[in-house]
Amino acid sequence: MSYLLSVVLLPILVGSGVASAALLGSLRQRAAIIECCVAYGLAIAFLISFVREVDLPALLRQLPVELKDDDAPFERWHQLGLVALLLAMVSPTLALLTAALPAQRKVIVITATLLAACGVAALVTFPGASNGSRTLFAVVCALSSGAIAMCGLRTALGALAVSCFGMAVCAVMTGFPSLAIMCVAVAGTAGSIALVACWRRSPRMHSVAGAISVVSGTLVGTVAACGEAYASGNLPNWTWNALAVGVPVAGALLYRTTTSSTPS
Amino acid sequence: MTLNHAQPRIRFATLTAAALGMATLSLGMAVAPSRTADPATITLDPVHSVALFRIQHLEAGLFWGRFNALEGTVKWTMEPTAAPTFDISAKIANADTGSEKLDGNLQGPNFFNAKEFPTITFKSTGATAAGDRHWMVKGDLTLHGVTKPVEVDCVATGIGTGPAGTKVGFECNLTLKRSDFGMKWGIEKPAKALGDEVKLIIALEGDAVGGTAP
Repeated sequence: MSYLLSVVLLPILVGSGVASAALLGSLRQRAAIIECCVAYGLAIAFLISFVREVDLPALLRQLPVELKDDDAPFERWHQLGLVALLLAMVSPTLALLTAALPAQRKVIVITATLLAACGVAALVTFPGASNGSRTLFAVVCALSSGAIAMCGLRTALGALAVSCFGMAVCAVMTGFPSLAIMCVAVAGTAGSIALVACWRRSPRMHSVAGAISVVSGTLVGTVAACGEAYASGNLPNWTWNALAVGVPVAGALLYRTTTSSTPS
Repeated sequence: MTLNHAQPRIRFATLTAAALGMATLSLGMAVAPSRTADPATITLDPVHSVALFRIQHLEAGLFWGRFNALEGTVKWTMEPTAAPTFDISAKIANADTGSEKLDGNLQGPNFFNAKEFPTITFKSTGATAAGDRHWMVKGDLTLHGVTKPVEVDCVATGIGTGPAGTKVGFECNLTLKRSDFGMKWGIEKPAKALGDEVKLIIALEGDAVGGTAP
């Protein structure tokens, strides 16, 4: 029980707590702060779950840090933690940049989406990585980010929750319980933030294109690539990418259909 | 007076024969130690070479699994006091628990991480006698990408004759802590799902080629 509290509930509380501070407090009028806190909350939830599930040295082993008495092996899937750390660091900068330059928002978001997708595909090397798999990895991240960018906040968070929960089920089915735990933590965080957003609608939060879409899309794309690389059993590999791209695309279509049919 | 030349000739022949005999004997004695030190190479028969592992599940039952089809060689003179040297490996893909789902879990990143560390290897570096055909073999065990020195209790279980020639069998016992090799899932997180201590019983059989008979 304490294990689940540590690896699932604690990340959800911290992640949704950070986002809720912006959505519920006096800051809720500021779209940039909401964007920053929601994106940061999602990334930090994954990171906390990773550190609690694996350990801190697994993350530090990938950084130029000298670890004393550490003879554990470097495992490639631990790069998930590094990706979450980088996304948590990038999200406030991106949110503030888009707020500071509203006229160039579209260009900034597209550039950030492509840079993040190509960056993780180049940086992260899972077993069996090839030029083809790296290209697919980047395309999945970019498509997922793009689809989430076309949603409203609650739809985006709902799609992220469904996508991550689906990948958690896949991870359990393919013998990767640690990945399942991290996915459940992000799904729970996204779901909690979506509930808070439903309760206190923010009048200034119209779009998630920016930090939220880049963090969400890159995260689910990386999880899908990791799951696909390590999967064992009979689950078809395309299932991971279908969940990473298909659910956000379905969310975007749903959002566009419902908003266009709603009389203004 | 007649001289008897036959007697000295016989003596000369006897001395020559004795000298040659001594020379042959000393040469034989000089050659003999190097012949007994020449070990046979025993190539493991994968069908009859397995490693059983035992681990405690949820602090309750002792769960057994196995790695089938071990590969490698053992070098041994087949003398009861001479220690064999081992160079053996097991493929993680050959893990067999009787459950296909559990096999997949074992090969996954939370346990052996077969995609990154596909084999377990053991190479002996020395041994001390512990009895007749019984040794404590020291060597380097590489598991989950970590190499550590271990001591393995090994017994030569028998030397027999098969269709292909001489068959030799060994049984080795080893207990290790998997956390020493970076395999920590299930020890503390989630707490006590699986034990840290793993007992291994390794049964080896192979065909001996070369070397000299004891």
